[in-house]
Amino acid sequence: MSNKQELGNHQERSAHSSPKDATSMSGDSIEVVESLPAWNAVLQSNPTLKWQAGVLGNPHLTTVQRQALASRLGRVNGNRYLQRVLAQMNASGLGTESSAVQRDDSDNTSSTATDSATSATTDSAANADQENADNQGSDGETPDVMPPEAEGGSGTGDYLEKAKALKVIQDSFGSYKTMVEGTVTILAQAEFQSAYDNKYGTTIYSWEKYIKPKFGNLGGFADKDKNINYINSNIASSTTVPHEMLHNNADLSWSPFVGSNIDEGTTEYLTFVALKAAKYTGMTSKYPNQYGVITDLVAVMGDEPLKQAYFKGANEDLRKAFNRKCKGAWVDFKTKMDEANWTQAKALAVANP
Amino acid sequence: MMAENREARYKAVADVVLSGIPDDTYRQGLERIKILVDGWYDGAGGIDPDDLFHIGLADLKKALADVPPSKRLQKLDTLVIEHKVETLSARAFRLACRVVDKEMSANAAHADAQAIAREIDGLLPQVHQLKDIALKERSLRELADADLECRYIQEGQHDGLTSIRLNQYMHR
Repeated sequence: MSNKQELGNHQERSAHSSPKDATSMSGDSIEVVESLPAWNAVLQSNPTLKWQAGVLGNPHLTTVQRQALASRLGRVNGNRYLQRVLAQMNASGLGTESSAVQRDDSDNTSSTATDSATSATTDSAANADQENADNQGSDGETPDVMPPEAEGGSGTGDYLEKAKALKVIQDSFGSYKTMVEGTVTILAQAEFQSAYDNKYGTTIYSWEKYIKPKFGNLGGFADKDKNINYINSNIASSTTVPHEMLHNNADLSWSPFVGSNIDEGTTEYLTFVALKAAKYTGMTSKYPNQYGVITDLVAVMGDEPLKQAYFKGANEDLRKAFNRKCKGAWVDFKTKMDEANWTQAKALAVANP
Repeated sequence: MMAENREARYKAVADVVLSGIPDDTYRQGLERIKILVDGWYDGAGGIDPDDLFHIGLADLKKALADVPPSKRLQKLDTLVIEHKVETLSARAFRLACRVVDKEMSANAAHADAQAIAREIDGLLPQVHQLKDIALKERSLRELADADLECRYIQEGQHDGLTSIRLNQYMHR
């Protein structure tokens, strides 16, 4: 069972509970709600001041998590609202009680709930602007996908629940085949690292000795013997689950026929089509270059040949459609995509005059 | 003939991209442009060179939109790093696929995998310096995938972990 699923049940049970109850309920399963997206889900599960003050004052939160959540709350609801939440924290004694003092073992510093949350209050708007400027349209801490109701966004580490993702892709592509969830294994950071270290923990390739200093983190890896793909929830965005779910619904012949980069670009394209149809906005691509080539190709020949090949295995029809409508040959296009030469791939996909 | 054409392409791109850039950085900017333009044309075979030029320039202008002249060199550096990362990542994946397909043995691919791994190590410091957080994360993810694929080859296909894309290729 995924953390997300467990959290969903947890939320259902605690929907009318007090913040205190939420804290104690999470106490016996702190692993479940230890990641930022999970805490964010708890925070958003009940949009009342008292509840959100209780969540922000939860002593299980690290300073960094508390600041990030407060920053998120400020960005979504405005600084004035966040100030009211902090005032509620103070009124409830959550900002000054010893239980609210959070020691952050990572940097050996301590601060109160209100200290760390207040710093997020004053900085949240400026931070959001700065992040937008620095990231140049990136998906760092800026909202990645805004849900249809536009009540808030989801940034780094947030992702659609499986049931929602399944509905989104079924609504758009159910006429091609009935969509299934398949296996999408998204783990919180600690579990993700453990899964990695189960193989390499005692070797020179261990997380601490190898991954952390070289790459900082991983987005995903696979256990090839068990054929399990592990995805890190901290790297996942709101497009991740529908994207991975679409992979699971592709015809078995699709990926071998097109190769990795066409596969990723097309899967991303279909993900965006489905999310846009469900009125989601503000998506940013994890595969911008592959996606860019595929959108250019769709502009030339439409997306029907791609969808027929992707879901129904009509690969030969795709090849013929490409060769008929584009300047280049499919086989060359595939080669250039495999080489990650986007300019040459695009030039081959230019409309046949 | 090709060299002359290439020089003309460099200049045409520079005229657009480096317009307004401070004189002391023009030469450095031109070096970056040469790397990017070479990427458009190297190995292009019979692809229409004018299509390549128009597409390459359009993408470059899009990437540089809203970037003031004073920051264009920095942005060009970023694009060069992105190009190197993606090319390296693609090489690692293709090499691993050849081993999976038994076109070559892991032993025969070992030296190439080691060379790619060294290139990854050489590129990482530049990637860690990237200020565009999304690109930095994406690049690190690409290089980590490539590194896992090199390790898959270097370890002789033992029961280790690998990239998701290679796993998908193995189980296709």
